[in-house]
Amino acid sequence: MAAPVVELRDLWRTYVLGGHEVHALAGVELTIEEGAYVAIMGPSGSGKSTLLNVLGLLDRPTRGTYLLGGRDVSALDDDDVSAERGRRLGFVFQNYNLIPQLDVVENVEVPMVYAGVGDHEARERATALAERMGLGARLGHRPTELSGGQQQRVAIARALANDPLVLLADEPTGNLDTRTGQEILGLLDELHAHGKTLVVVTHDPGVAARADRIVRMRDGRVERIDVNRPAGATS
Amino acid sequence: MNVLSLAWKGLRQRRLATALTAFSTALGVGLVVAVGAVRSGARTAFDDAARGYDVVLSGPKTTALSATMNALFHVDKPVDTMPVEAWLDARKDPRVLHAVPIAVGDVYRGFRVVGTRADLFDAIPDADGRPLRERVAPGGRLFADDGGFEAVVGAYAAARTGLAVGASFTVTHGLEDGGHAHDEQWKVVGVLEPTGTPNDRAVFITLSSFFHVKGHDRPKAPGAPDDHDHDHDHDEGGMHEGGAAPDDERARLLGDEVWALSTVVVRLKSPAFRFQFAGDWNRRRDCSAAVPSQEIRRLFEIVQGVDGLLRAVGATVLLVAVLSVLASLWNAVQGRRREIALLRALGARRAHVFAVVVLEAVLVCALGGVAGVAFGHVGVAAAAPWLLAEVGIRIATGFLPAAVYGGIAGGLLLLGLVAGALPAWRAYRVPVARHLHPVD
Ligand SMILES: Nc1ncnc2c1ncn2[C@@H]1O[C@H](COP(=O)(O)OP(=O)(O)OP(=O)(O)O)[C@@H](O)[C@H]1O
Ligand SMILES: [Mg+2]
Repeated sequence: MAAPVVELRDLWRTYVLGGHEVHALAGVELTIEEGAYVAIMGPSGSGKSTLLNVLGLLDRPTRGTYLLGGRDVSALDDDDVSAERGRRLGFVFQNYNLIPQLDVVENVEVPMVYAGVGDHEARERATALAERMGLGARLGHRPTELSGGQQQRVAIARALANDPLVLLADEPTGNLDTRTGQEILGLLDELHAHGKTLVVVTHDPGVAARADRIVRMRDGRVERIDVNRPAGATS
Repeated sequence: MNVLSLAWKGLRQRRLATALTAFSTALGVGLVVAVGAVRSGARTAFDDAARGYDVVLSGPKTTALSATMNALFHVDKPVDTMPVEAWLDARKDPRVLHAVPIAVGDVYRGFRVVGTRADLFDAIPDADGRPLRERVAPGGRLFADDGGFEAVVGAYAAARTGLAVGASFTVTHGLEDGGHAHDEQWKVVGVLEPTGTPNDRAVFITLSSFFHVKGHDRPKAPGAPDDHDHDHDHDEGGMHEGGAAPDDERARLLGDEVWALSTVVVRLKSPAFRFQFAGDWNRRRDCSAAVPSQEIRRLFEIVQGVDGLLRAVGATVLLVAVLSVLASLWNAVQGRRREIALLRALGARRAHVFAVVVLEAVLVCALGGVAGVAFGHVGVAAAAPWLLAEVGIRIATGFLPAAVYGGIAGGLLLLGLVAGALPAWRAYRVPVARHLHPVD
């Protein structure tokens, strides 16, 4: 069995709204092995996005333990959290979230700038990644000059910039038409085939069907885990 | 790419706001630079104008400032006159290199007509230190002291009035316009090249011709008896060394017509004698002595008040500029919270985000600073011909001492840091998750 990349133990995220406590996460237990392709599903308000934010170190759990690559990241200070985010995690968002004033290669370079990668190496790696995502003819283009599918490819290239332990995606095909969505999912399949650990939040059963496992959330807890394929197996 | 280029690209994203805030910074800087340049330029120009004028003698009631304004700048109301004998005495003072008599009271088309002797052109240099005698434009010459109704015209006066060698003109009585015209005609024998001093605005005529004019009635020379009877009473000043009878000398030098002088310009053998000489001559009852360099220094002490005011205006404009940088960035941070959250998700530390915003502010101030220094210099260059024309002073349009630019750079850096700090603090505190996943 592969080593766990993510381990969540009794994880809570509680919001206080007008003196009233809302438990967006209420004791989540979850282990994700290296190379796994995990889909997170559940009804609206079940805590999927909150879980992804905590996994991505964008938000802190109220209590509980989070081990990322074996390191306890629940109590790191802000600078260390930023460094972990930039080096060990990659994000893909539903609305791409590219930086409009930067071109394709520069957008992909951003995480490397903050990880202290040298100018030359950053440019080379960014170019190679963008080419691998099929953007070879678009390297100097701005986001506004790209289609939605192309923008999402840039976002995936950027998420891979520092070769993260886990790639996190929130509804990555939510803004795309079916065909373009399929292309993006094909890219994710390819990354999975190369051993990248993927976590995808989705409402779409067709998207979830591509994962090895489906984590089903309800009321801030993991309700059950459906296994599509044996962990680590590639299709 | 690095944190700096990210900041730069952020600015380019907001070109208009950046341009406007940089422009207002530039205005403030430009004002400060222009005030500084005009001030130091004016100081140099006034010092240039004072060259050669070690001491100016005038009547006992003439203030030192008025004597300076009259003799050097050809402006100000007429002075109290002084007796010719004082000039004769001054010529004999061993410290004196040149003592040149000057009589004023007429204008030609707004330019002062200065009755004087030819050694004025030896005593007084141009702004570069060359005696005026060497600055006669080709085709002309200086007048001789007994040259009759001859004139030498300063470059600016010549250019404005069209007076050229060979031309004739009549003058108007009184230093204000609107006086009656004299009948006598002067002939231009020489035009001076531009000297960069107020002498460019003067029309020089021979002293003897000045007093030949009808209507230049014998003024009552102070210290001289009402009916001047050629005795030696006027020697009571005590500076007279004796020797040749002054009236013979006077007749030889000036003829009998010259009764009183407006001023006497004294060029000493060394500027070191200025105060001693002026002190000695101020003890005489028939004249007063002014040291122009000292009057100019005093004048600049007064001007410093105006200077301070302009500086305060410049500083206020700069302050407003800084506030506009601050406001613009504050709004930018508000509008870019999502982008900031994104950069944080991509590994930017809080300090990075803070630095980017502060850098933007510093860059805006730097842009404004460069533009402002350019504005200031262009403004001074544009004002220089006007100042030369109106005041007769030549302002240096070159660069200021490096320390001034260093001071501006340092000041702007500080202003940029201050203007950036508050918006940067706001950026620093942007919560990451909320702005990446707007509640929808
Ligand atoms: N910033 C917040 N402040 C207060 N409550 C919040 C906040 N963010 C989320 N919640 C609450 O936490 C719960 C889980 O929200 P979350 O966004 O994780 O659900 P989700 O599963 O992603 O839903 P959806 O499918 O609609 O995106 C919800 O009840 C939500 O109202
Ligand atoms: Mg959600």
